[in-house]
Amino acid sequence: MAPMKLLSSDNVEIEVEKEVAERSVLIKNMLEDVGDTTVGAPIPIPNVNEGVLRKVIEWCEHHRNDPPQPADEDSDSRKKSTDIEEWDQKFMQVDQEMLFEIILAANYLDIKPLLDVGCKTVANMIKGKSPEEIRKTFNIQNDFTPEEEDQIRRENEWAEDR
Amino acid sequence: MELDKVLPLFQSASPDERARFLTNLLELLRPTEKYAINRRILQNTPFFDLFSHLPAEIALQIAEHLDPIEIIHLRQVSTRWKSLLSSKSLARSLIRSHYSNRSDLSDYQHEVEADPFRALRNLAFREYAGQVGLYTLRKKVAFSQQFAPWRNLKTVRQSPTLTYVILRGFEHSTSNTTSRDDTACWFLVPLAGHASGPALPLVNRQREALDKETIHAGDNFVVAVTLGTR
Repeated sequence: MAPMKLLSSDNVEIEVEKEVAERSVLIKNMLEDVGDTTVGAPIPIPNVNEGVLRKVIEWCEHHRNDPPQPADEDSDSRKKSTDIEEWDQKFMQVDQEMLFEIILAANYLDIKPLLDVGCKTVANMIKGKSPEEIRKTFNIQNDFTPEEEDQIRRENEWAEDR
Repeated sequence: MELDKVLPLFQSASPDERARFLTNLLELLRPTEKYAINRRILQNTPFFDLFSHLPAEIALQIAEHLDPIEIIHLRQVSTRWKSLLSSKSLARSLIRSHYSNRSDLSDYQHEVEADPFRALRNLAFREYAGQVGLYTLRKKVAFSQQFAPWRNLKTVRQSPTLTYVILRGFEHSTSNTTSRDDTACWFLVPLAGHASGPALPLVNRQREALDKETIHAGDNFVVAVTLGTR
C-alpha cells in the first residue's frame, strides 16, 4: 500500500495510505492532476486541523472497501432514511463542535458518504423536538422580534378556513 | 521567527495604529485564513451557535432528512432557519414527496398554489394527528378577557372521558364579539375513539363548561391542535 502525507491546517503531517486518502474526491482529483506524489511533498489541507483530519481519516480507513455510492442522486430511500449503521453511530458520538467540524471537513474534502452520515446525525438530533428544544440542543438564540413571534404563533395554529 | 517580533509591537501600539495595522493585515490574508479566523472568533463568542453557521447547502442537506412537521418546527427556531427553509419550491417538493398519495390532496390544491407552507402545515398537522391521535402543544394563555383568547385558540383539550377539538369556523373582523358570532365560530369535534359525527356548533354552555373544568387564567396547559377525524 502506497503511503502518502497530508498536511493539516495547523501544520501537522499525517501519513495515510493513498487508497484511504482517495475516499476524498478532492484529494483523489488532486493526485490525478499532480501525478504520483507518494514520495513527494505532503498535500496541504488548509481548512482542516489535525484532530479533525485524523478523525476523518479514521472514518476513511474503516470505509476503505465500501462500494462506490450509486450515482442516482435522488434515490428517495437514501434521502429520507435516517438510519445510520452502528459503527458510524459510534463514530459520530462526539461533542457538537467536532460533529460540525467533521461535516464541514467532509464537505470540503468531498467525501459524500461521510457528509451524509453527518447530516443524518444532526437530523436525528432535531427529530421529535419542539422549536424550543431544538434551540436548547444547538444553543440557538431566538432572534425573532415579538411581532414575528406573534405571527409565527398565529401561523402555526391549525387554521383551515374551509 | 521574525514575525513574532510584531506581537509586542502590536501590544504597545496606540488604538489607531492597531486598527490601521489590522486593516492592512486583513487585506493580506488568504481566503482560507480569513475563513479560519472568522470561525475562531465565532467559536469564542459565548452564544456561538455552530448549527446556524453551517453553509446553506449543508443546512438544506440536513433538512432533506426531516419530515414536514420537523421542517415546520425548524422554521420557528430562528430567523436564519426560517429564511433558509422558506422557498415555496421547498414546501411544494415536501408536499409532493410526502403527501402525493393522499386522496384529499386536491382539497389543498388552491392553498398549495397560494401559500404552500400553510398547505404543508395543514397537511402535516393532519398526518401527525392521525398518527398519534392528538397533536399537543404547550401554550401559555392568559384568560384576562372573556372572549378574546378564544379567538386565538382553535383547539382543545383531552379529558379522560372525552377527547375533542374546537375548531374555529371563520375569522372575525371585529373585536366586540357578540355572543351570536362567537357561538357560530367554534365547533366541537369529537376525536378518535368517539363517534365521529359532523362538527357541532359549540354553544355557550359547553364553552363555559370547558372553561370551568380545564382552563385557569395564566395556566400552562396542554392544547391539542386539530386532527383529521372530521
